[in-house]
Amino acid sequence: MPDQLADLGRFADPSLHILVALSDGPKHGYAIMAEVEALSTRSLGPGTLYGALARLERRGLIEALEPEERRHPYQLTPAGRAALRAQLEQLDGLVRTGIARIGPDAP
Amino acid sequence: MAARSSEPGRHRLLRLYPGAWRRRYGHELAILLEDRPPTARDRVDLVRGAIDAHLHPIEPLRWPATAAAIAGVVWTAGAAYALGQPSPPDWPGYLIETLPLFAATVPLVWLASLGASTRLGTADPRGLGAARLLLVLGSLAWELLLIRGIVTAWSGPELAIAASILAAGMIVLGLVLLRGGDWPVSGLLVMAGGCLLVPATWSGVAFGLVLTAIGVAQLRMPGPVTPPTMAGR
Repeated sequence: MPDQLADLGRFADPSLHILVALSDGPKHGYAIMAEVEALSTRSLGPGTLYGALARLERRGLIEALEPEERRHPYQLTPAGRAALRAQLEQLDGLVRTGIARIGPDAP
Repeated sequence: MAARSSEPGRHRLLRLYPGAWRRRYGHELAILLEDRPPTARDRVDLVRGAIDAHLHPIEPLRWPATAAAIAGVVWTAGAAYALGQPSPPDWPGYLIETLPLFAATVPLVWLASLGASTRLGTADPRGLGAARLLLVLGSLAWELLLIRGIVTAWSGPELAIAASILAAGMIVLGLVLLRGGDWPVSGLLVMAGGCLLVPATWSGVAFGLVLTAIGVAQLRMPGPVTPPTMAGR
């Protein structure tokens, strides 16, 4: 499967965080921001959040659900779940290799 | 403590976004900003987001086609007039009379090429940023030098260098669009850039005609085109 996040430029990293934030169920914008901040200690600006949401939605990786209390929750699509899994497995391989190469911390 | 913006300030920020984008996401974003009033950093992020939304539209745009068609017709007319004049030109001669026309058209050429760069929609493939940078630098330099030429009856190799930078931007953009399967606009952009690189009067006419063709092609096939990653799905 082609790398769905490869051509997202500066939105690639926020998009990955958003996909992870949505991996345990639908969330609306504010909840996604809070989740990303909790997961990574990085703050996600509102312009970046919606720039990334628009890209993910156009690629069919997420979809908007019916509004709840004026807010649109978003959820992962099957393609989004597959793309997230592929990205995380790629990162997992990188992390394992890196950790193995640098070895244990010196005392 | 970070500064928080007022409600009118938030609405002003949202108005920076394109209409189609606001219709789809504006309401949600407005609610988000009510729940979490933006800090100064958020406001900068929103301005960046608005610029990005204009450069990466979610719906087809009409103005790039119009800009290319108008620029093409005006450029062709100016170049055709120069074609009927003695060659090589006796500077400043008739050339000084045509400079204002070309100076007025260069911003349209820039708009047309930048507009063509929005055809990839929300995709941001490799090379797109470089193409846009070349388009901005080339057209800005060319415009300033043309104005200098009009004011001081000056001409120099810098004019050709500036035009070549713009030409390089068009060629790189054409290649980026070609990778995304955007035919024939991609091929026409490469041709337009090639015409600009040829130092001959006839190539000016050809550039104008190709630019017009870019406008017509975009009218028939408005962007955004399918991003390359979507094509494989």
